[in-house]
Amino acid sequence: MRVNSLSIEARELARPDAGIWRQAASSRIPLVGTPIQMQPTDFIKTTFARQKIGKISEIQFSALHNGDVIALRLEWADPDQDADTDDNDHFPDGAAVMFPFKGDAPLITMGSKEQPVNAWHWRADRDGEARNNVAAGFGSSRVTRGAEIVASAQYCEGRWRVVFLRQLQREGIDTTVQFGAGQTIKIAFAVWEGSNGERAGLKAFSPQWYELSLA
Amino acid sequence: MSKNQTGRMIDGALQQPKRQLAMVFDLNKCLGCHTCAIACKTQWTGEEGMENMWWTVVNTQPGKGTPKNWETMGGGFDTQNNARPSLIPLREEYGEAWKFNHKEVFEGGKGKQVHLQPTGRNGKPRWGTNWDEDQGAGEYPNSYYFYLPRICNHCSRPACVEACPRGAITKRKKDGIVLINEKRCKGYRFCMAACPYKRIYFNPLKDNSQKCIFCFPRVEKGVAPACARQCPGRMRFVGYLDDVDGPVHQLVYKHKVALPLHSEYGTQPNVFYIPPLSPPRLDEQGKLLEEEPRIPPQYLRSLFGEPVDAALEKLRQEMVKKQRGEKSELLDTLIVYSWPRDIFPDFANDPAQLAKTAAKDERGGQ
Ligand code: SF4
Ligand code: SF4
Repeated sequence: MRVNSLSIEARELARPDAGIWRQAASSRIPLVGTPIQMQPTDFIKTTFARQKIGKISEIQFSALHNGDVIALRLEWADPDQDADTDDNDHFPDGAAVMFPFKGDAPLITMGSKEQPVNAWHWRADRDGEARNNVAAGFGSSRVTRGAEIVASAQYCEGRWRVVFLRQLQREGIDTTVQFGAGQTIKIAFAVWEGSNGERAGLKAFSPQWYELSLA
Repeated sequence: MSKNQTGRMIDGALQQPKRQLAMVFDLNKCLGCHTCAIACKTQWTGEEGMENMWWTVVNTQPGKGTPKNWETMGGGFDTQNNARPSLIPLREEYGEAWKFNHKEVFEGGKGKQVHLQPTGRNGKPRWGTNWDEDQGAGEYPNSYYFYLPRICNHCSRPACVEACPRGAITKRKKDGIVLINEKRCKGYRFCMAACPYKRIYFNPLKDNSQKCIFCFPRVEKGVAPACARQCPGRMRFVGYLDDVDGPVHQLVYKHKVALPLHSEYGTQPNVFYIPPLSPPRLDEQGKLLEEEPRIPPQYLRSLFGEPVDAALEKLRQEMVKKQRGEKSELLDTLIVYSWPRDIFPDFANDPAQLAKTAAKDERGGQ
């Protein structure tokens, strides 16, 4: 997937409904639910054995950069907007993009000790921010500071539109991936449907890495 | 894993802490005063986001409990040691921290028309913590109830620990206290569903699960947990299970009168209860039916299992002994002649004294 370079202000790129996104090329990314056998605890396996995990089955993805920032836009249909944790059984909708720090890190386990991954995580109850995570295998993700990822989300007519925006380079921060024009980098996707109790490893994800080529 | 072994199997090896802290609650001494709950609230759950938390709660039995109908929710393990599915209790089921119409009554000039009343999430509250307090069961003159204080049981096979996908809950090696690491916890709430005693709360502001911590910072300084030290009924014994001279060990293993609640849930809880005795029932003529206790034995069996019969019998026999002027080691232990030595011998330090010494040290160091 190609990431075109346009001279557009970051503020504009960050808007999920900006006109520019209508012209940007978009790719359909099919998602699948995480297999129940992969869930890390017996309790989760028994409790969710009969439930369909991974309610969101596809997203539309597009990306642009302006030489300074990169913007990644995800859009998907979701009839239930879940944006709070007001009750104990309320889980917010969420989305994440994930990158290997190097090479071919295993995707389904969220990396490994030798090959960690970087995930940018947005949650519908946290307006404006996306958290930078480093993971080296199941259940190991930890949030780190300094990546400064902005997430802007909009829910409209049964669809979520989320833009992740970050500077291409985050100098001196080694807990987040770096981008450069002319570079190719792998990316994967995940979406959590709150109304289906999806959180943690209960999610829909793209079972393969995609390649992003920055113009 | 054989049924009478405690601890849990991980990768084929039995995991057990070096020692296990435990409590014994003597239900015959509970006044239902809730001082324990207030002591805990004051000490630990006063922050924003924790308003509805009662890490120790005192329920009236028979009753629906906290959260409402928790005994029917599942969780824990089945007889094959498999995780039992369960749901996450809702805020209303735990009971909300109600807001009151203070403004309207005191400042709105309507003090004469409206009365002070709580407002719940959906208007007038329909449930709350201890909503069914002192209701109990049975018909006059044979109505009955008793109090059941409940905390996290710091189980030997904690379902909460096993459910968490992040390994955020640990059972401490040195004393078996079960703690949620708030830095690792991401608020996924699998533990809240898995705990069959439903003793975990969700803090939406911190996005964390939270529960009783057995007052570990106090315990580490030889001070009893707040609920135990403040209890006017002096019904909460605290100690290490392996301390053969301590009251906890004696009541659980020697006298066998302290029993776990719902041991069939499979988590091997470390809070034990002295079951409640009750006066005899009355027949229609008002005659005492000496053989029939007011609290139906079968109800007590549903809480504490079959051994409850022997435990109650033992208590009755020892009372008769004592009444005859003979010595009863069991009753002497339960009476707690000397507080705090006889009730939590290893945790008898006075927190006020510790605070004074600490303040003195600080001044001396300057
Ligand atoms: S009572 Fe519940 S929260 Fe406490 S250790 Fe047992 S399973 Fe965990
Ligand atoms: S403080 Fe003691 S007597 Fe009062 S309710 Fe709690 S356990 Fe019962």
